[in-house]
This record gives sequence, structure tokens and C-alpha cells, in this order.
Amino acid sequence: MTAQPSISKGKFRTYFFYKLSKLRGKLVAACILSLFSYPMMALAVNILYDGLMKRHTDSGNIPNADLDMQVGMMNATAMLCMAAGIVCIAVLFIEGFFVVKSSFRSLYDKKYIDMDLSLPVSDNTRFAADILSGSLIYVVPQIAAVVIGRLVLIHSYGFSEESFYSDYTGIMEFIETGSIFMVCGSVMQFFFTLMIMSFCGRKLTANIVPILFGVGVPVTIIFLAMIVNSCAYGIEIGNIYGYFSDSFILQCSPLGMCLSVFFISQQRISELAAFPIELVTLLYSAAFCAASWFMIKRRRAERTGSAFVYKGGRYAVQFMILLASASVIFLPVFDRVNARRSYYAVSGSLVKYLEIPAAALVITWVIVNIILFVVTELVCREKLGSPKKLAFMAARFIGSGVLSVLICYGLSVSDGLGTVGYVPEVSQIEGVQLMDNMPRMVYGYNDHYVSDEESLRLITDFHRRIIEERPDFKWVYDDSYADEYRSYVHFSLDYRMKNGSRTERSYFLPKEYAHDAISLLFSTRAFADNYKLETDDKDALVMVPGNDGVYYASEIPYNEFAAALYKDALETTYEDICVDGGQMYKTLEIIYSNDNRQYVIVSNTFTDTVELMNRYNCNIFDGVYDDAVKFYMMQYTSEGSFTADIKYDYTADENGYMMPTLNYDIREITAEQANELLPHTATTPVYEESRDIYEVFCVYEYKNGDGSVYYVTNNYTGPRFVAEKQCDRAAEIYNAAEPAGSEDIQKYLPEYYRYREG
Amino acid sequence: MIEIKDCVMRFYDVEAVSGVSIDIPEGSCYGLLGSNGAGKSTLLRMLSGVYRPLSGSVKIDGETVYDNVKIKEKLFFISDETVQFSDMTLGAMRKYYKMFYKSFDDALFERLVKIVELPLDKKLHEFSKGMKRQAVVICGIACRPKYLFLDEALDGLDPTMRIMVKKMLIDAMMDREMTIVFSSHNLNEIDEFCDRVGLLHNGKVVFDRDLDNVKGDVIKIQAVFDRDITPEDLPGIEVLHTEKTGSVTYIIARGGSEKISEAVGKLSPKMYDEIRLTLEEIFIYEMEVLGYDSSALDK
Repeated sequence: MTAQPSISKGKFRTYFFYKLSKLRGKLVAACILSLFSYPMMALAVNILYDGLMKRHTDSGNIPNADLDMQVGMMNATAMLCMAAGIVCIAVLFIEGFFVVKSSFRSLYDKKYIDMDLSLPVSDNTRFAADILSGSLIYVVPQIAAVVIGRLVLIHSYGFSEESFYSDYTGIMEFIETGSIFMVCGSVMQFFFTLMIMSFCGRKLTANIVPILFGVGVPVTIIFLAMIVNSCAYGIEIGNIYGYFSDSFILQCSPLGMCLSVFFISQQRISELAAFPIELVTLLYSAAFCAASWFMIKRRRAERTGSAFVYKGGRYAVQFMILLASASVIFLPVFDRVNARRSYYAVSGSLVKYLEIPAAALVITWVIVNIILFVVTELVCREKLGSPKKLAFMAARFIGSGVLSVLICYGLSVSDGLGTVGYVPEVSQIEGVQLMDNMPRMVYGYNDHYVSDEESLRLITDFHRRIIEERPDFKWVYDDSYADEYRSYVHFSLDYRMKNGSRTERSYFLPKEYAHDAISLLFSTRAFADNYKLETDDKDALVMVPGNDGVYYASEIPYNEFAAALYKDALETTYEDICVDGGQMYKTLEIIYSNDNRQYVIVSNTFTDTVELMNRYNCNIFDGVYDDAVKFYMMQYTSEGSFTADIKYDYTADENGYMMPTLNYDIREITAEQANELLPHTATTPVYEESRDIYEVFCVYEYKNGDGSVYYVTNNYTGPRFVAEKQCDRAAEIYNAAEPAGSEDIQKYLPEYYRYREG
Repeated sequence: MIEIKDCVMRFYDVEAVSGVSIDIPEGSCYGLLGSNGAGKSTLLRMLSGVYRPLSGSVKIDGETVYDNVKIKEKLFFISDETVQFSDMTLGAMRKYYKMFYKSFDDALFERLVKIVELPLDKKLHEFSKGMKRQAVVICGIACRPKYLFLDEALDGLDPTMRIMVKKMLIDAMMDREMTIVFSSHNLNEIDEFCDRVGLLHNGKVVFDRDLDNVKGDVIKIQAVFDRDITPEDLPGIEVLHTEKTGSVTYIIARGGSEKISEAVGKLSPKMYDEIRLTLEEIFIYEMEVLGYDSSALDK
């Protein structure tokens, strides 16, 4: 008769307390580290707060230098506490490995086999007691530290206003919620290490392999994900955040889980996460625990002393090394193949810039891996002198190597594992954020959020069209970034799904798509929604700019203005507002009853709005240029200045007024010439390599109350760039005009716009 | 009662124990002999439930030993290593074993410690090799197991200590009919101590018999013949070794005194003498037959 192994209560208690006593040292370490972790960080927040309070209360009472020194000391102390806290948390995380090593010493240390396994304790009892004692001494101090940390924070809430802490919300969030994840992460670290260690049979492998897998698995996954991204049209290679951040695959190891949480926190989508991350961590821990139990139960004690008690362990290590290095090496190799399919071929570019040939990378990979392969064989005490074993090793190396490359290649040609063709269903979408780099007809609005069903349908249809027509795109590949930038239109879709996840796609489309992409903004409510003002504030004031650039309060009824503006925005088409249309724009300011301010850009094509404003004598588009005293033209030819000053952004002052920095040629023109060109100008140019850009620049003269003169330029109404169809005429006028040095217009410019070297 | 039946244990490609079957009656002291790597320690570990046999069975009192708490409470295994106890004091070892063995006898422990004068508060790494062995044996005896397995446990003890430890073991055997399985390379020790022996070679059992039977079965003859004698001249007798020095021929044969003297008598020796062999000599000659001898050194 065979006795059934089970967890005998009495033996369990005995063995459990025995193991607890053996882990005393680790318990003390865990307690000290825990005490200096979250409580220390909470203390740091309090010290920072005290510093803030001190600056508030003692300002004026003691000399500034003394105050600065005292607050500086407090801040330095807080930083030290913070650093100590972070270091302790990191060490605590690593301690999990050492706790497992101590708890399960008979897995890898032959001398304890006889001592531990001959005891009258069943395998199940031993496993359960080892797990419980190890995890208890490791996790309980951390839980206590979380509680203490929170108590320290609660204490500080009691005597302070929460708003004081706004600068430290990140740290507070970490102590309050991140700490819970860290505790769960520690549990995961414990079980992950145990699972890997259950394969190992020697101290050397038990020390190295869990670390190797702990680091190697997430690194491999990230690099494989980057290979997937590199070939996935629409997914940027650098966008590991969006694509893999909340992937269960990345989260399958403790470090991967931490990286995943870091990526999610970078995206600030933790509140949208479809699955509570702590639960995922614990589920993984449970799975690792079950796998460990299975492996330990099946393990043969007599193999302790070999590098791996399961032969698969060695093969897994060798394969992981090959795959990890292949993913790193072949990313730039395959990335170059796919470079045109995804824009941000970062790594490909790196290899290109470093001028490393793909063949050199592959040869390096093969040589390094042969060495590593042989080292692992020697660690496993394989007799490589035997021709049979040598041949077997060579066959395994070739097989594993080919498999690794095939995996990388397979991922590389998989169209991002099918994600290239994926367009979310309208019913699953909460809303979508659209972003583009298309020429701004109205500067400021380049990102739009829509959530109505009709708009979502139009957007997903356009998305599908991009995917379907992609094979027909005529790509023009230029080596330089600037050229490439000009050849494409960047269009991003950021779907916020109802289940809390995000689906991001970022396309570089041929320039011909610009029109359709912009039209999409007008056929949906994407553009109009930018003009949706708050309507529940009847007392809001509509402030109108005068020709002198100063805002005056108008009598326009706010609600009527808001309604007219939205109606005009809804009716606006791409043609109404396109860059070559010669439209004029003015920025109006809305001041709400609560003193909040909002700026809206109004076009002269907004018929209802213009009519409403005219009714209240706010003829903002009339006589803009009548009072000008001087007229100039500027020619932009330098790619550098154009790119720096206009394409990427204007130099703007605090009021949002734009002024290109002075790196262009200026010529003075006549009033007649200016008036000929001005109706064919728009606020934003489209840069074409084939032509130059011309801007018409007007100067107005006003008198102050004391009779002194001051000047205002038409930059207050937005710079006026000549439309493409009038460029030849503009060039004619410009070439006939007299050159004017930049110093000629200096006196017309406000102080802060005047020319500065560099 | 210990029953080992067709037991097999393999370390990857090497078969350490190959179809071993041995029965050890209760209350006996069983000596395991064998060359290095014969499988003695592996067999003892299987008896202790440390190793699980690949096939066959290891049963004590009718129950499988592996992962059987009830049976393991009845046995104690003293391995050839003591390094695992290095960071423990003898006092800590006492606590350790007391936790797991309900039968642990404090009075006996104290009495034995007093006899050998071991300090309770010193860590074992400060002990000499012999003292460490004493400490482990004392713990094993104090646990009052029904079965005690010792793997080369007396190696490294000085003769006095050896006698003291043996006495402790004998007392325990006498006291409560403890069964001891004992492996050692010191055959004199087994000779003095065991009532039954088993010889293992390359994982297989060469013989498994009462010690008296073994010793009575293998006989050394010294005789003078008028011609050279070969094993073929002694039909029905298993000749382990023959050697001629001058006119004297030495024959080591298995088969019992009576049968051997009758067979030799038929060859009309001029002089005949029968010498009883020690266990060590039997071991050497038995191993020689199996090809395990020191003659390799002469080549």
C-alpha cells in the first residue's frame, strides 16, 4: 500500500516555522529595505511640502538668501530620502531572487538534498511551506511599508491643502497606487525566479539562468515587437508604448511587467487599461507557481548537480540567447528592407548612419553565438571531444539559429501580425483623435477629437481606403529627412476604444492624399468641433482686435456669436478655407464670467459670424491695409530658415502673435503692388521645393496720446503669404523692387521682434 | 522489513542501480559492500526516500518509501557528507531533528553527547571531521528510528571513536531491534558489525548473504601438488583465484569447506591446509573475478 502524499497539518506547521527561522536574515533585510522604501518616499513628500510652506510663511520674515538655503537643505534632504526609497524598492525587487534561492536550496545545492529530502515531510508539504515562508518574509514587510507610507501621506493631508502637492502628484500616485503594483510585482518576481530555478541543478545555473531569463525575455519581446512594428505600415517603430505596452506577452516576466507599466504610465492610459494590471500580475504569479509545482514535483533529485535537471533547460537557454541576439541584430537588417513601409525606421537609419553592412552584423551574430553556445555546452559539462556530441551540438546550433532568424523574418513580413489591415469597428470606438502635419490654413488646429457615429464612420472608411490603396502608393524615397518630409503627409489616428484600450496608427501618405485627408476634417465634425464654444455662459464677452492689435470689448451677444460660429464651421469646406484662397483670419478672444479666456480664429469666409459682427460694428476684415504706410515683401528661399521658422513652428510671443525670425531677404514694394497681391494671400504657405515663398508685410502708423508715433505690422492679423498661383507675379514684383536691409524695418517692429544675431 | 525489488536508477546515460533486489529482515545489520561507483550510496538514498527509483520498488514495512511521511518517520539517513550542517550547532541540530521526529529522545541525546564530550554551542564547521560524524550519528540514534541508514558514516573516525560509535549503534540495536544498513569500505568494520552483507558491482548485486555463510563459503587452500593445477582440475568448484609460489599452490574457491576439501583431496596433494579468509580478502577475490583488481597497475 502506498501512502498518499498530502499536506499534513502538523508537519506543515513544523516545516514552515523551521523555514521561517532559516530565513531570518532575509526577513531582516526585507524589513529594513521596506522601511526605507515607501515610508521614506512619503517622508520626502512631507519635507518638500514643509519647504513650500516655509517659503510661503517665512518669505519677508527672514532674508531671502537664508530662506533659500534652508529650503534648499530641506529639498536636498527630501531628494536623498527619495533616492533612498527608490534604491530600496529596486533592491527589494531583486531580493526576491535571493529569497527563492534560500528557500529552495535543495533545488540546486546537492549537499542539502540528503538533509532536506530524507526528512519525514511530504513533497507537497515541503513545497507549500517553502512557498509560504519565502513569500511571507518577502511580501509582508512590503505590505507593511505600503500601509506605513500611506499613513505618512494621510498624516500630511491632514494639515495641508492638497493643491500644494500638485508638483508631487507623480510621487504620491506611486506611493498610493504604484506601490500596490510593486508588491504584486514582487510576488511575480518570486514565482518567476522559482519557476526558472526549478530547471536548474547547480549553483552556477541557479544564479545565472533566472537573471538571464528575467532580462532576456522582455528584451527579446521588445525587440521582436520592434521588428513587427518596423514592418507594420501605420505603426511607428518607436511606438512600442502604444502597441506592446499593455500586451500580456510583454507582461509575462517581472521586468517586462515593470516596463509595461512604465510604458502605460508614459501614455497616461493606466485609467483606461482594459485589465487591472495588479490582477494580471497575480494571475501570472499563480501560473508560475503552478508551473513550479509541476516542475519540482516531476524533478529527479539525483540530477541535482547537473547544470539543468531537465535537458530542455539547456536548450531553452541556448535558444533564448540566439533569439534575443537575433532580434537585436536582425531588427536593423529587416528594418531596412521595410524602411519604406514604416516611416520611423530609426534603427535602420542608425545602421545606415554608422555604415555597418548587414553582412557584418550577421557574421558578428554567428560568431558571438557560436562562442556562447560552446560556453553553455561547457557549463553543462558536455564532452565536446566526442565527434557524435560535437555533431549534435552543431546540428542544434544550426537548427536553433535558423529558427531564430525565421521567427524574426516571419514577424518582419507578417504585416505586423495582421495589424496593418486592422481598422476598428465603429461600434467599439469611443472617439478618435486625428492629427496631421498638413499645411495649416488656420494655425493652431492640427489635432481634432471626434466621437459622433457619423464622423467615426467617415474616418474608419478613410482609414480602410488608406490600407486598401496602399499597394498603389507611389513612394518617392529621398535620403534626406527634409526631402522625405516634404514628399509625405503625416496623418495619425488615435482610436480610444470603449474597452479602455487604444489603437494608434500613424501614416505617411503620398502628398496627393493631403486634400482628401483635410476634406475628411470638414466632412466630419472634426474641424467644426474646434469651434464649439461653451454655451452656458451668457455673460461671456467677445473681444475683437483693432487694427492696432489691441483687443476691445464688443457688444456682440455671446450666445449668438457661438451659434453663428459653430454653424459657419459646420458649413465650411476645404475649398472655403484652403491655403490658396486668399482668406483673411483674425483671432478673437472670449472672456468668460469666471475670467477664463479662449481664443478663436475667425475667417472672412464665416459668413454668418462676419455678418453678426458687422451688425455690431465690428468690421474686423475691413480696411485692414488701408492705413498702412510701408509695404515690404519677404522672400524665403533658404530651406533651413523656412523649415525652422514656418514649417515646424513660428516664433510666437505670449499672445500667440507670430513673427518669422529674420533670415530672409526683404524688399520694399509700393502700396499698389501690395494691394494687388494681398487678396491672393493666406496665413500659411505650402512650401514647395520648386518655388520660393513670398510674404507681404505691411506697417501701420499710429499716434499715442502724447503725439508720439508707434508702428504695428500686419503680423497682428497673421503673416500674409502669396498663393501659389500668384507666385510668378510676386516674383516679378519682388525682383523689380529695391532691396531693403533688415535694419530698415527694425524701427517698425516691437522691441522683442527686433533683429538679434543668432 | 526492507524489500528492494528490481530497482533501477539512472543518472542520464549511466545506470547506477540496475535491477537490484534485496530483502533485509527486521532487526538485522546489513552491510553494503562494493567498489567505488557500485551504487551503494544511490541505493541508500532510495531506501531513505531521497531518490525515486526509475522502475522497481523500494518498500519498508510493506509501503513505498518515496514521499511517504509515515515510513520516513521510521528511518534516519546519515549520508557521507556533513558539510550541510556546517552552519548549525549541535544544539541546533537537536532542535532541527526534534521538530521532525516525534520519537526524538532528549535523554539519550544528552547521554551520548556526554559520552563523546561534544560542545552543544559550537558550529559544526569548527568541529573536526570525526566530531562532525559523531554529531550526526548521535542525532540519528537519538531520533530512535526503526531503520538507520549509514553511508560510510564511520569513515574519518579514530579507532577509539569508532569503537564508541559502534557501541552506540549496537546498544541501539539491542535496545529496540533497530535495523541498520551500513555501507563502508572498511570491511573489517562490516565483518565485526554486520550479520548480513550484500556486494554490489556496477549497479548489480554480486551476492546477498549472511556474513557467516559468505565467510564459510569462500575458502583459501594452500597445498603442494606434483603438477600444476588449473581450475579445470576442480570440477564443480568455483575457483576464484589460483597462485603458485615455489612448490605451494594457493587456491581460493567458493563452495564450502567440505566440498572444496573433497575436490582437492581427489588431486592427492602432498600437503594440504585450509585457511579461513577475512571479509576483505573475500571482497578482493570476488572483485577480481569481476575484473576489478589492482592488476591494472602492473600493466
